[in-house]
Amino acid sequence: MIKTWMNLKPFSQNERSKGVLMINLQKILLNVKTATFAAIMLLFCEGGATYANDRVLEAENLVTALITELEQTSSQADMTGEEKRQVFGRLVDVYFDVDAITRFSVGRYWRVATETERSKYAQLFRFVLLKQANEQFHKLRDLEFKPTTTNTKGDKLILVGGIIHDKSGEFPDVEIFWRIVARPDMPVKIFDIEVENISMLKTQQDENTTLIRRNAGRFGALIEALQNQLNNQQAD
Amino acid sequence: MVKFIISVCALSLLAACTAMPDDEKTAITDPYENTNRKIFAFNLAVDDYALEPAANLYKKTTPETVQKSVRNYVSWAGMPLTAVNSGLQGKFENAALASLTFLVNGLTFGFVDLMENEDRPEREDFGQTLASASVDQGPYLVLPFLGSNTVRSASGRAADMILNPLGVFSGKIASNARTTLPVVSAVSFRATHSDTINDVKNNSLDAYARARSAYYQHRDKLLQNNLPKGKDDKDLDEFETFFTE
Repeated sequence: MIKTWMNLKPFSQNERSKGVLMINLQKILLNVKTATFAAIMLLFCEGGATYANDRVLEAENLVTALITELEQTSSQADMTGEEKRQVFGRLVDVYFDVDAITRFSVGRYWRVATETERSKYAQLFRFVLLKQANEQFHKLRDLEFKPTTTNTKGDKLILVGGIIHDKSGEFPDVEIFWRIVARPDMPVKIFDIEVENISMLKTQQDENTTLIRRNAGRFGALIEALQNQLNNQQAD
Repeated sequence: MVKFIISVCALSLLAACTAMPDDEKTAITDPYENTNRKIFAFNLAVDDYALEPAANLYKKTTPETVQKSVRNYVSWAGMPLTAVNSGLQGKFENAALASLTFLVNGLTFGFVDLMENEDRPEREDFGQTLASASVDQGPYLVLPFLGSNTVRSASGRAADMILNPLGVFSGKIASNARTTLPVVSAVSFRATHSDTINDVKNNSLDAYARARSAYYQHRDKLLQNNLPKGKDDKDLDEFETFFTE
């Protein structure tokens, strides 16, 4: 930028003809345009950086808010099973991108599933998510989250890292990453949780796609397996 | 010495023979799935009847401080291998740190971690050394008692047994320590990761697929510093790609 402005030469005695004046005017206009463009770009970049920082902060706040809510919930020892289910249902809807998680969890097979199969799977998968959250509930007591680093991954994902510390001392510290999705003009949501370098969602996807593949690519096989698993667990 | 060099070279060659394109380095390749599943079922039975009861008993009867000491000992016993493999990979700082940790904690035979608040050396095995030499990982293998591996990591395990500097110590105590270490290590690991392993066993639609996925992800992270640049972000790419589709 500075160089471009410095290249602007003052009018010399020999350049006072109309043609030369026009050329110089064009030069000036060109430089003014360049300067304006650069200034606008700078503003956009600054705005972009601020926007990205806002999203990072939003992602960190989302994780902190979830942890706080979980701590408060786990301290209420007198909650009934139904009350817990309701709380988890709300937490899942508020904090997690359930739709994206559901689609990712079956990989490329989402495309081959019919609308009915998708809807049935989404319903069962949500049920499984809530059931797992309910079962893990008691483990949340005495756990605290210590944030460490936050990194952006591409333009839509943010990794919020931290350590889960067991205050009772029973378990060693565990490294955890929250994979947050930040779509433009939409609230940030949790997409995946990575514990000790193992992504919960990726593992779920590998398990589901293996099951479908071993049943000749039939999406319905996954729905049947999920339904059977839930029936068996309810019977136990 | 000649035997040792020949063994290491043979194992490296075995792993090298399974070469495949670079872009498949972190992908799951499981051509022996049917056989692997049978061995996995056998390992689950071993866990049901031996490892899980032993781990539960260990957890119930052993105070947490003793369990921590055992974890420290297992970690300490692996330091010489980390030092050797770090040296082979040219990670001399890590090699020095592992040697120092081994020497310092050796004052307590590894049961107390005297360097708890210092920088920890990163664990390195011969499988990682092979990865850093661009030897490909090869197909997925489930080994009886040892569980998930790839051809490269299995070759690495075998080489580590030969390479382990602790092997030079002779006498009954050293021999007993070497024999019992894998058992102690397995029981301690099973006890520490009891909830996770039980979750895989009892709440999976397909425990085999879940265990395989977890193994690959864990191994990929360990190998991040060993693989050539640009080959270590496959998972992240996968997540990013999902949101660009």
